[in-house]
Amino acid sequence: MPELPLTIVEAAEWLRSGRITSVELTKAQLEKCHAAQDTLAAFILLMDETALAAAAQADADFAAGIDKGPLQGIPIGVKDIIATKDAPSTANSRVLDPAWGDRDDAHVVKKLRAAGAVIIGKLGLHEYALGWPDPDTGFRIPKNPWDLERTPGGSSSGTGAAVGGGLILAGLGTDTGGSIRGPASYCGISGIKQTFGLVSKEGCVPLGYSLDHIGPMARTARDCAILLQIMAGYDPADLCSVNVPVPDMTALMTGSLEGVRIGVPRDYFFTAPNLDADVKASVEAALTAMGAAGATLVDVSIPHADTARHAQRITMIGEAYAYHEPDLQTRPELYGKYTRASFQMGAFFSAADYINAQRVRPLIRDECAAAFGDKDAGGVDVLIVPSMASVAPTFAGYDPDAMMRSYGFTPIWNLTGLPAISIPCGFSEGGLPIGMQVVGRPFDEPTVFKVADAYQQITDWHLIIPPIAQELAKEAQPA
Amino acid sequence: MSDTPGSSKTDATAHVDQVLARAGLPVTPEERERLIRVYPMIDEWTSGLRLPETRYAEPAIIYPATFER
Repeated sequence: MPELPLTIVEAAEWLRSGRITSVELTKAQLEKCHAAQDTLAAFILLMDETALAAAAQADADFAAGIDKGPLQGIPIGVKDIIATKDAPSTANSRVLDPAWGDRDDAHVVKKLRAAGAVIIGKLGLHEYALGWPDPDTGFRIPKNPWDLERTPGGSSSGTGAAVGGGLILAGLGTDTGGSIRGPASYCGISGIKQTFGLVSKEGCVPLGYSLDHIGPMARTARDCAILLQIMAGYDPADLCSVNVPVPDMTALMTGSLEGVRIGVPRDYFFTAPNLDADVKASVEAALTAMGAAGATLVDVSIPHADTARHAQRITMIGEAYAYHEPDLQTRPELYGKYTRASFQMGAFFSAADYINAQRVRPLIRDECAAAFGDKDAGGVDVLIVPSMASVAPTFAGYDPDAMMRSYGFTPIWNLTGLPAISIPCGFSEGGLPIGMQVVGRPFDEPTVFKVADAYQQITDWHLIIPPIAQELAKEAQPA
Repeated sequence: MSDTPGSSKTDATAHVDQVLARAGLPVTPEERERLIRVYPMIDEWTSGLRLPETRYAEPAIIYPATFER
């Protein structure tokens, strides 16, 4: 029995049964977060005072019979590129004008607070959600809870480290090319980039306007669904927001894979030269397990999957360059060296290059639609592919240009806007977590969650926590 | 950059310097060298987007004529 709840679902039960109060839970989580700042370094700022006040309010609401739903009294973290009214926002950069963060909560933070969530702190990230940490910028560098010599992934590095390390039950990340799903994979947790436009980006510093998503990261797919249920919804303040009804994210979670049809695009996603054997074997084993549990596996094809990563990168860097151009011209020395190097490449793309990337998007969207097929006539419900090509790399020996040359399995879903969740599906021989993506049709998150949750019912990869989390939990017993 | 063919070191150096000057980007000598080094990769990315299948395709850019946000 864990000393503290491991999931939002569990914590919600404890809060309602009186086993723990929100103040007790928040205090215990804060204690762990502070204790881990010299090791995991997950947070840029911890907000003890406002968090404990929000927790006390949640407890008072419970006592008064007010129940705002499963997030009431749950401490969560927010990636420090998303605005919060009670804390500054840095984007992990010396470049961002502090005045940018002097504003009200971002749209999603407002919604989470209204649902009773307790914002416990601002989480570290790669500078402006890109690049690689540069110690010279003075910001803490989040570490992987499974091996402190390795990256937790990025750019939502702090969220991955904090949730993976058991410091918090959940947090917000952002994802422009895999920045939620990469850290989720490397840290052994779940994280979803939902359909583009389903969650407002208002109040988030942009990276790539047409690719950015704010999404949840948590221990389980079900916890992600609970968070996304609150976060989703039309917001006219975000030009990319889509005015569609928000589905019931947990409606299809039966725990069964019976009758589910899974598309497996083997070309590219299972044949990329940089795909680790451990990763491939784990995802293949997951597919076998899902087949044994009643799912049907169908080989499908996305012929231009490799082109998608180039189109995504040109779109992302081009859009980012438009945002950062004045600062790159006038005070480039304030950027970390890896971030600056990435953004500088934006000067080398012409307008025609950018437009050509946008002309590729419909082609790849159509190929994805063909891969899914007609849902009512033999099509597939989801696709399954690896999340990352390898386990978390070490900080030492990082080569940014080699990373840009490598094959990736996450950017294509930003380019197409399709929902994709990364969930744990095994460990390497060296004991590092491995993740796989469950990808859905546009706005069909309930099916994505159904499949991810059903897999988590027949496996326990997502419940295996690193030794550092066990040690921190022992030291932070609720009073 | 895609309208500048060739990927020799000389071409890359000249083009990198031209782009940096036009963009007004101050770079360190190491950054300039790196950009010259990765220039063929950038060229490969952009060239790879010129597909026969998308020769007459419309871009995925939507700008509806409406006053509503």
